[in-house]
Amino acid sequence: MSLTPIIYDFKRSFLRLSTIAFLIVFLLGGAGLSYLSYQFFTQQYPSIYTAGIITATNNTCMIHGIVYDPFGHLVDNARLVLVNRSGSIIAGFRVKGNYTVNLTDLCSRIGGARKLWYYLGTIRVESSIGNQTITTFARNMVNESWYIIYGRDFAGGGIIGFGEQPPTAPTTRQEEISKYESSIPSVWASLILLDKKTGDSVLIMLAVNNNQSIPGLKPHYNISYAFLKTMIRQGIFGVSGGFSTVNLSRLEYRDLGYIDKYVSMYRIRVDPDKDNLVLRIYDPASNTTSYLTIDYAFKTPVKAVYTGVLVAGTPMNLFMTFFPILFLYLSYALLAKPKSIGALEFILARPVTRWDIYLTRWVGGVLTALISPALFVLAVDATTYAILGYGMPGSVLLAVYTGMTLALVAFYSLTYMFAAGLRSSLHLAASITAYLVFVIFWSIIVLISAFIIGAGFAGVASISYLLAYFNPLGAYNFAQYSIQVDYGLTHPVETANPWLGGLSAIIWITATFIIGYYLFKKANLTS
Amino acid sequence: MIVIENVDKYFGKFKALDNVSFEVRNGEIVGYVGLNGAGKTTTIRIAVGVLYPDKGDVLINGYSITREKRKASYHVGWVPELPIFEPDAKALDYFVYLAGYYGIPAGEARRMGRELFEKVGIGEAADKKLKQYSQGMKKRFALAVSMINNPDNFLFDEVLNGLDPEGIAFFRKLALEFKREGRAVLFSSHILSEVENLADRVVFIHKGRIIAVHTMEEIKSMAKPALRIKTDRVDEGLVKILGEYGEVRVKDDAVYLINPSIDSSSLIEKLSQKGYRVEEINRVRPSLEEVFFKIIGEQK
Ligand SMILES: Nc1ncnc2c1ncn2[C@@H]1O[C@H](COP(=O)(O)OP(=O)(O)OP(=O)(O)O)[C@@H](O)[C@H]1O
Ligand SMILES: [Mg+2]
Repeated sequence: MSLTPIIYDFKRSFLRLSTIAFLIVFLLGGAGLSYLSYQFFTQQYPSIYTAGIITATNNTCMIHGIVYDPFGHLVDNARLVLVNRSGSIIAGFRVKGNYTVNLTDLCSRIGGARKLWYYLGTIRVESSIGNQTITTFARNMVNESWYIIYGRDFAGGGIIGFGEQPPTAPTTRQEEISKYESSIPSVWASLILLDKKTGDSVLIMLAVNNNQSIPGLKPHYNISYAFLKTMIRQGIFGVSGGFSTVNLSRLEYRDLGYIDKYVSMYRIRVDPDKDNLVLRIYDPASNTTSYLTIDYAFKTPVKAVYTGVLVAGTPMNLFMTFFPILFLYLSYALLAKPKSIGALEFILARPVTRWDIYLTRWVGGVLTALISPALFVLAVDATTYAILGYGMPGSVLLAVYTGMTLALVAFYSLTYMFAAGLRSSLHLAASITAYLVFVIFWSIIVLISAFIIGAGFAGVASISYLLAYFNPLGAYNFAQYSIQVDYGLTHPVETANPWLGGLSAIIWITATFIIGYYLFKKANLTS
Repeated sequence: MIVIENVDKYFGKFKALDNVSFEVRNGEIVGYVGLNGAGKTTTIRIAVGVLYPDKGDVLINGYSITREKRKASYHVGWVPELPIFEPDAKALDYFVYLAGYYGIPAGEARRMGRELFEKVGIGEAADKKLKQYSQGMKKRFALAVSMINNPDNFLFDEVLNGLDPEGIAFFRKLALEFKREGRAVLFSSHILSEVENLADRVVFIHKGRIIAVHTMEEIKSMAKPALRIKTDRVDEGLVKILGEYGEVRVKDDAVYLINPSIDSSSLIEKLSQKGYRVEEINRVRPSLEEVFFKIIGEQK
């Protein structure tokens, strides 16, 4: 037997109009889903930030800064507007992600302003989807917000500051600084926590030189970093105990090297078991060392939030509500219908056994179940990448894909078993019933079970995972669960074990496949 | 070589086949004749392995269809009585698909398909969907498929049924060609005369049992010639006179002289001498169907 029949059965399951139409809807849906998640995300997090420094030496004023997204990626084409204290615009620029603005009369325009406002309304270039400026897309996506450049006077009249934080931030930061610092450095830092588990983070630093004699106030500091646990924390959000007293100079520092730029970004890994990042700033000119700490204990890991919204949110569940219909239909088209009209008999007259026919057609559908979710997940990821310039973590993609695939293969095998044992009309009736029970009414079944057992609302999560082992589509719930737990988005539930969830799917698949074969062996293949 | 060995088949309580045994040798065309519902299709379906026998077995080139299905099926081509395919498939695609089960790669199968389609007369319709095929075209398609791997044995179930005259002629030619090439051909029919010019032997099945196996020669000899005589009156005298020249049978208003030892003109003369007026006389041959019914009747 060549591969032709399997390929053919697969092509017939995958390349059929209904499957393709379904997939197109799903791919578009997947893309839309990513976009929705992004919108949701940007409602919570402004989509772009800026950090910048204005240097003023010898009457030359320059702005050095970056524009970046919540993941710490530079964003080009932001419109940057300088506004004076009374709110009137003094200058506007279109800037790159990493920019230096050098206007001849910038100093005079800034004048005596103590505070400068950056007005950011961006038009992003989505380079990943063909270098097209998608004006409306970007406009809607970005909350136009005001960002303050806050700062302080220092020798020479330069202004230094972060535009990242809302107006209350300076005080907080000042407090932070005063907490440990022996001297106030000319370095400011901000940390984006991407992933709490791995500690994957982006460190952004602004620096100027205090020394007026240095041209352009170019910084030259040696930076190293260490981690510190300042609080004894209990649980996920519980705080107890107080600050411990530490000698910052005794920590074990890792070298980041010299910074010679006004704005620098580093990808670092913070220690997930500690809660503070300590930056040691050594100024070789004055031979002084100062410290800066950033508390990341309560920082929301942005990747996790985005991933959580995307993967565990309602929209993704919507897909798992409709995906099974495709597979119900495939078991009908591949087995129930040809069997019912008697078309399998002619195939059985080939040098094959019933087993061969049963297997190849099952494989045909399974291949579709392997490929469709892959395409779907990739579409979601590609869209995410196009919007954010940031793909989802591989582990998340894998978990979503595995969960979806196991669930869909299990559901397909169940309806395939019906097809093997029943006439096509009964197959439809049984499959639709299974669909209603396992998909549509499942949450009601969970609620009722919790009520009957007397677990109440508090026990719903626990019951729901317990019952999910008995749902062929349960594997997907466990995939979501594992991601949520991984990212600290949910408390662990005792009854939920993703490995067992996967095993349950495999048992569903094996059992229905074997029973189905047993039924098929006895089935009458005549019309 | 197809050997059917003691096959029983029940449909529920109904015994459709009762200890059916016969064989089709290489280079032989065997007609399988029986009334509607006699069990021909059931036998053939068991022989090609799409139906399990309750007892007995079928050997195709020595391979058991129940125990060595893949090998046995490899050596047999089948044209079903009412072929059913997956309706949405295009004929040539479906041919390639089925050829895949014989290990024939798609490209080669496509070329071979076009060739065979041309041969069986559906070359024009290669890219049509099978649901657009007429009954005769389906038969031709099944015939093309049965030749995919050039098997040694063929089972044709009512294959002439639904074919146009040109198709029938083609099929006869093909069957004889198979015979010449030393293949074993079984084909069923409920009309004995349909197999007359083709079959070397005829296996008769009635109510699930093989009731007779005759060579075509034997059958033909059973269909003896006769003289059908209509006279002004039929009486004992007439029967007596005719009895001298052969077996006499009276049916309706005519008398039959079977295997007459006298020619018709001499008979007319003899009869008019005895005072019988011959109104009509002609030579007849009992049809094969009469022979068929006789065989069945004997068995009852
Ligand atoms: N799938 C089935 N279920 C129940 N009874 C069946 C089935 N197939 C055949 N039969 C019965 O078995 C007997 C033999 O049927 P079969 O089709 O073999 O006859 P046949 O000789 O091919 O007749 P025909 O000349 O009409 O094609 C019939 O009485 C028929 O009703
Ligand atoms: Mg029949």
